[in-house]
Amino acid sequence: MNKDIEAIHQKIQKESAFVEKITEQVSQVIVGQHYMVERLLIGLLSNGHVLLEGVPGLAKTLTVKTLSNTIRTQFQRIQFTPDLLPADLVGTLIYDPQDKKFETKKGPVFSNIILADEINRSPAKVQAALLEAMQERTVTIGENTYKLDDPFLVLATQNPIEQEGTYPLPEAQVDRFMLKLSVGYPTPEEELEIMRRMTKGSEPTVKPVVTPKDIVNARQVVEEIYVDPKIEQYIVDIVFATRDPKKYGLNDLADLISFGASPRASINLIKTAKAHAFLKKRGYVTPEDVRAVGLDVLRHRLIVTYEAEAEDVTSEDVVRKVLNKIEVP
Amino acid sequence: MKKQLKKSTVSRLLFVIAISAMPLLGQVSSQSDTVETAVTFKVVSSETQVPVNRRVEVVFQFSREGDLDIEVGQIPEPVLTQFKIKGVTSSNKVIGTPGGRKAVKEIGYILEPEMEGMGYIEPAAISYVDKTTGKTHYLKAQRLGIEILPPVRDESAPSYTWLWIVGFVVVACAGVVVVVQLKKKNRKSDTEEQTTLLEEAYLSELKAEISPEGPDFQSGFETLSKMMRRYLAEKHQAASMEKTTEDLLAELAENEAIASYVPKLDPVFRQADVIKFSGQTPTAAELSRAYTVFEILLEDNLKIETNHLSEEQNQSKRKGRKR
Repeated sequence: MNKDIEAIHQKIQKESAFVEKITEQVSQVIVGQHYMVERLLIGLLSNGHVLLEGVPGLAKTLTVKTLSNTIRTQFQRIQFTPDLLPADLVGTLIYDPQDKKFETKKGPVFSNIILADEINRSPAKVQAALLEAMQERTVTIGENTYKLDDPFLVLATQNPIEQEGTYPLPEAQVDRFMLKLSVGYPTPEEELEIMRRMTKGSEPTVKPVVTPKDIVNARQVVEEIYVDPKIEQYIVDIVFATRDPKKYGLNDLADLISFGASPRASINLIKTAKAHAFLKKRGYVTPEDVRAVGLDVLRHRLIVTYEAEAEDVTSEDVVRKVLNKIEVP
Repeated sequence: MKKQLKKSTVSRLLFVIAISAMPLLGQVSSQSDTVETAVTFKVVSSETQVPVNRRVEVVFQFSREGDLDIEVGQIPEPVLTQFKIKGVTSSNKVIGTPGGRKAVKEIGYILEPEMEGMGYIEPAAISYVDKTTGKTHYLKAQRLGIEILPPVRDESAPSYTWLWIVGFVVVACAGVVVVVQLKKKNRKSDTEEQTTLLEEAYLSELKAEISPEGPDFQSGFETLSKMMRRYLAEKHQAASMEKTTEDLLAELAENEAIASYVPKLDPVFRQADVIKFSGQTPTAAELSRAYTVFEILLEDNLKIETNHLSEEQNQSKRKGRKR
């Protein structure tokens, strides 16, 4: 290994110590769901927001809450409902009759980790207010613009079923989430353990083991992780294959993709691949890292055609085919 | 008195009938007038029957004898049933006759039958003015019927039977040539396969492309890794070019034919990843070790394949002797 990568490797060893602590704490409450926990950590390390999708009862909210509790940060859970207003989220100006002036009342968005529970239950204007804060990392109340604290991470959940009375996130807004996770059911062994653990009487708790500074430091190391030009080209090939499948020998996908992934996908692929390499304590990115995060980065950035929908082909199927077809460097 | 009246009425009637019947006489063959026997208008055809795939000529002939001073009107285009005009000819001539001479004006129509049955050239009328009397006279040609027969073989058309036979023979010969060539080619490729096995090809490529002594160990290692993946893809139909190291090793471990080699291939592929993606330069010993692993794999498989081939050849020889 060359000297630069060796140095990065040593930094990773030092700065990634908190990962085990977090994982250990989370595993005291959450049984299984390693995929979800790992992806949440990737979001945390690569400074990207995460959208979790899964049927009710899969511990999405509990996992996010537990993860937040392991970090000494401000955590806010916002339950999105149809009557929620943007002001309930970002804050508002309140008139003080004594001082005869307006005072700023900051909303729950002024926090480090936000759990936007059931984000698709609120109307577009509320979603837009949150998504603007996610993108700009600033909030404007009245005439003043406030910068949000670092780390600022939005972990949103949504339910793929019960679509009645929901406001599905527009494609452009979903694109702002770095990762979209599809949370699945636990295994029978995990189910048994969940049952036993959650019916003991006292619910397990976690203690804060990480400071925001640890996360900020880790993020700096993640950014330093080496990405070889061959890996960069591999990422470009994957993203371009979603735009022009025929060029990559994926003729069967040509009629199934309406819109391919945007350059934001390439950026997020490289960021998350670095974070994945960090979690694996490696100072460089391999195709394995790209493949590991590829599905979560790309599944919400492709728009499939009506023909694909008619044939029950999802964007996830398309991404899988692309990843299986593109030659690794 | 009454009888006389009756007689005169009957004779008048007969006269009227006779007068009115006079033009009808011209329909049959010709029409005569004062100058009468001297002027005729008729339609003639040399054929009374014509096959549907042949043509027939019909001539409208206007003739006058002697030096009659008459002015002839336009001969009209004929009205046809089951025919269509394909060509028109015309001529004017003066013929010497025992009584003097005869001027003949002819317009000929080349007609093509439309369908089998009876075809007709409907009656045509013509007028002329006798300049000496100033009277206008009318002549009507007869209706001419021509039977249209079923088509006949065209004797003048070339016969295609020979052409068909020649064409068939040429195509058959070409087919035979193509089949023979393909068989030859297949035999040739079979022989080539027998002579050059996959392992032999890779062994010679390995020796030609990679030098374990250097100088470029990094590119040597990268080439070796690619070559190994390519060989595994060809040999075991593994999607090794598209799989990551981890996935490839997992797939190979499940394949009985190669599973025993996975412990040897594992470190080579992992080290190749480090070299390819971290920019690390391998040592000569590392490249040599990886080179040897691949070389042994190829040689072992070559032995297996050679034994397999010789067994197959022996079996086929035995079968041949039995026959």
